[in-house]
Amino acid sequence: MRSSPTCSPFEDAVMNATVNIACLLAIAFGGGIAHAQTGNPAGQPALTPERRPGVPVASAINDADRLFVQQASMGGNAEMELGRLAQRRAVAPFVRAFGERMVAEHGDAGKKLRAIARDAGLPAPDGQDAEQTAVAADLARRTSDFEEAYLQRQLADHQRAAHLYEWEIDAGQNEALKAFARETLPTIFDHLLEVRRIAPMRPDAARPSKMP
Amino acid sequence: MRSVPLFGLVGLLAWQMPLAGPLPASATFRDLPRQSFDDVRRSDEATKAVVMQRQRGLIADRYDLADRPISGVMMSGGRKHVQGGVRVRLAGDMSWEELAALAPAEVAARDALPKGFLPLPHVKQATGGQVFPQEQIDELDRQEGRDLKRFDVDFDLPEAFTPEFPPPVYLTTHPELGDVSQGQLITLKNYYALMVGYLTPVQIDGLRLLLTPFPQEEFNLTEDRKSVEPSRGVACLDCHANFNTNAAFHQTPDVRPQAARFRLDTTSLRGMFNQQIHGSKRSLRSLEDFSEFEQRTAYFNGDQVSAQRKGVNLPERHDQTSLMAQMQNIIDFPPAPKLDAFGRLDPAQATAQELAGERVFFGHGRCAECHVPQTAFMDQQMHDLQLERFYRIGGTYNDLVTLPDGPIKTFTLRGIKDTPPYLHDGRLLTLADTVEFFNLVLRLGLNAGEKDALVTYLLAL
Repeated sequence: MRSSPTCSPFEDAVMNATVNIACLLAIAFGGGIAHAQTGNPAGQPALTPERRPGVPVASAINDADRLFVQQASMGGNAEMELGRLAQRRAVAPFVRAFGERMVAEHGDAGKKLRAIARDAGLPAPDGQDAEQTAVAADLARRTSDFEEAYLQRQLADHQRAAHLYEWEIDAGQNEALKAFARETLPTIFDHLLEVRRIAPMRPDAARPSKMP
Repeated sequence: MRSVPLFGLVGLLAWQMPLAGPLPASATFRDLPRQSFDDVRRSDEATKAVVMQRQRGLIADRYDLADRPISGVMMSGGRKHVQGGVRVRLAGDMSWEELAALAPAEVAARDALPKGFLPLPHVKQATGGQVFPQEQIDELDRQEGRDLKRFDVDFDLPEAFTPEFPPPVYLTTHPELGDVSQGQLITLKNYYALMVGYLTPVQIDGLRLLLTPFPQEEFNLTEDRKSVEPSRGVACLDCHANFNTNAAFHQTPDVRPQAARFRLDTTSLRGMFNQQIHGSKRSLRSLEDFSEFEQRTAYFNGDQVSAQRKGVNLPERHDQTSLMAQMQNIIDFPPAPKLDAFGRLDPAQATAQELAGERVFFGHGRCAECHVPQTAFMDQQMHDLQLERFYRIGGTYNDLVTLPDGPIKTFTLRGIKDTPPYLHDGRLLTLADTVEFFNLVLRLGLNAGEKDALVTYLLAL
């Protein structure tokens, strides 16, 4: 996955009121140094542990982080399962290729997220929620309309995922999780644009067996 | 491969149900504060230096901020020079000509779109809200003792790239007078003395309402504010200073979640009498509608729930918003002595360079297709420039997630030299920047001479 551009200050700059070169470099190059607390502190839970005045400890976690880890993990797991299903069940090559891409890229993202979540003390769930499980079971039963149903679900899932990641970028508190959301969001949009591009393609037209 | 609509083919799916997102209400509504005012203020003040450093770093990275005025060109009041030259920095070693020669997909693939062409983040995206330039803060404090200073952020653009302050005021009802501001910022303290006799009773009371502060999201009497003292609020003309603009900025009320809300640069109210759609996104159809609804939007981010808690003022429709609208509708554009009644240059008065610019405006530049001179350089439409063809969407800059702008209202070009910065979010600092922007986005292929002529022409409007 390509990383997204970002421009971040970092916490040490708070300690040093004078402009320091390292901070300027971080601003200029968007380095991956810890992102300072730049949210609205009004929304921060009272008595949040602080590293310095106004700056929560980098590992601080809020409700948004918890929800993000849960939803992003289960969403990624679902993407992988459905992607594997698409590789097996889809006839149209472009749908199989999309499924393969989902397995690979959500797999990579999931590994990163699990590691960050583990460090943050928030174990990422392995499974899916009831709705995702039902969707997978439904898709597994489908035959002729598998591609349409799969791609329709992919559209909705990626719309929802983009919304979730945007929300974490704003509302989250844990710096590593927010950085993960920033870095991953462009790829979510890549997927969304790709599914919008391929969804209107009629799978029947791509099936060699049905070609005249 | 034939294309057919997909969704018509798929019947009711077993699992098809409204995909209500898992996000809490705070993804749309404003949360109540979870800390005391003192704790919030302490945190905000402690991090303000870093927030400002980050934003100024981004701005310095994107733009050349040197003070380089165009020789001999002043804004209409004669109080401030107009800055010249292209200020957006190119990405890498590429020239503007080389960049403009690339196809949009190629610009995106090479990550070659100048970052100054991307949406400009609010100084503190997560908090947002109205941010006023220091000149406005100081003058209002001097006249009214009302403090518009925030403890969490300051204004972020250098003064060289904001409108002259205070701007002149021209009345359609008294074109013979010229600027009636007497060089002052019109406030609740001086408006009556300045305007009595020139305005009708309806107009002067409309002006009073436009100058009266009412509670706003960051300036109010509750603990959820960003002013040190409880605030009486803000007035319409705190941003639309003297009915022009002081470049105060905000975020669009029309988008959620917060990370996706783009910045809004205050628009001028000059020439409102000819404008038929209002709001960069909302396309409200009357100035009365807009004056009424700004209490929900500019004041409270389109969140009527928060507004109610903080003491929203809802102007009464037939006896308040109509007065406010009637006052706004008599604010004229600054004089443009070289334009005729149809908005065309008078060849007897215009220079050869200005006339050359007008030819580009109508011809190769395609500007007049939307900025129609006969209708005050507007077309009463919203257009989507589809800038996202030139970059990969979803990147985050200072907590703003960069997404397509979508359709935005066509703004007037009359008096355009008086209203930097440009575009709806103020991402372009000079008129030369706007020419380079549209040359790329509309794929015009203008040469250097055409670009220079266009800038000269725009200065005459």
